[in-house]
Amino acid sequence: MTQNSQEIKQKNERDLVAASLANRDAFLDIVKLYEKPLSSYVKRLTKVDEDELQDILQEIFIKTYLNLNDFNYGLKFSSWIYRIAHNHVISRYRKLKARPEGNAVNIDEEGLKNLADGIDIRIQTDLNLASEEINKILDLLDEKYREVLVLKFLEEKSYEEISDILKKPSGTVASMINRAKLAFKAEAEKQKIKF
Amino acid sequence: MKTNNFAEHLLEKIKTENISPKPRWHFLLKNYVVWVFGALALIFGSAAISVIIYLLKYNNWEMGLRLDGGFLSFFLMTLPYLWLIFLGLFIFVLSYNIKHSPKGYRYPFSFIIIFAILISIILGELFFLVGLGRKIDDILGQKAPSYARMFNPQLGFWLNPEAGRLAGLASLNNGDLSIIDPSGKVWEVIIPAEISNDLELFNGQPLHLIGEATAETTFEAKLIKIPQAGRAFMSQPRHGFPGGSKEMELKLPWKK
Repeated sequence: MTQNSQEIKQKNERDLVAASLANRDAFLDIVKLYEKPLSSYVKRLTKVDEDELQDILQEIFIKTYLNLNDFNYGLKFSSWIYRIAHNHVISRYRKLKARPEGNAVNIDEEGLKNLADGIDIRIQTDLNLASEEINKILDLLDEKYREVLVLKFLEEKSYEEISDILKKPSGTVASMINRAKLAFKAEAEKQKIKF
Repeated sequence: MKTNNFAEHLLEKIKTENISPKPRWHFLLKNYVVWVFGALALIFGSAAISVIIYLLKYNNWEMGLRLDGGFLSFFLMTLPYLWLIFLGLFIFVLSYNIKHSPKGYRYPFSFIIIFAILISIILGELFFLVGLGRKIDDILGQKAPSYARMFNPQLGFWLNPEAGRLAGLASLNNGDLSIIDPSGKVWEVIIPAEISNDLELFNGQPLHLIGEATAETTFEAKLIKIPQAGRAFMSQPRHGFPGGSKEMELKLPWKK
């Protein structure tokens, strides 16, 4: 299997599911395609070291492989695999009875811009400092608010995709995002961080 | 495990441990269970609605307006609470199953509940039109041990001669009317001239009466109506209808 991610993206993801069911080597394409996005998504949801991250990712992909026959072809594959990742992280932390905390993943310029536009804040410091401050606030937010902000502004998912990932109605997602924005601003004020 | 080898390592693990996807039927079965329970809840909920429509439609509302206790009291005392509880339960089960269907999460639970209520009402009305509500009431009236107390509070309401309400089967003897209530007690009924001409009575006819118990076994009627719901219950032989009552039951108009 020598296809790189770009080439794989050309392929229809649904074909990848069918191909993986027919031949497990084809599952490698799915792993290559989603390894990086899921890695940063998981890091944004949890505070884990690199080894633990690899373990979590492995468990997510194995769960995905085991449940391939459950994939609903009416959904986007990315929504489905993000849902598995989300549920896995949540259930893992429920088992540990710990609150998942996001890792300090450096937020790239585009992510910062999306977040700033979405929450309606102005980044006045340099990007690295802003990234640090945003991560700090996200960490302090309630899990449900952090999740939707990460999905909407950092993972750049649409309302419909977030609805499919979190298994909540789009209207609920929209109001959660609104509440999350307010919670973000309130937390920034509490931490005396100015944007 | 190095990140750049992650995919290959993972595939190796899948191969080594011989991990394979769960079969499709496993997931289909889960979905079918959700749909089957949902469909059963819809059918039972609609059946409950058909009985509720039947009980409410034939609740002798005009008699309720003539009662001393007032219409609200009549309304509250004759509501079919058990059927309403059943209905609520089945609506909840139906809504829960819709919510847990593959795409049910896309709709708010309140929307799903409203949808479940509407679809149950439509199907319930159809069930009522084909006579299911009456059939269920008749069967329960004949077979359910606590029918009057649980399934048809209208009967319990009418079985209160001290409060001026009486229910039972008509027994005619030379133009005199007696009522045999479900406990088997025989009441001599005095019918004022102004209402007697309106009635077409026959032996075994179930009746509701408003009036006054003037003696131990005498009831002076002010209003007499023919009920629908609970007829099968009242016509059961165990309630002591004269003639044992197999022969008499055959004469009942709704059993023709």
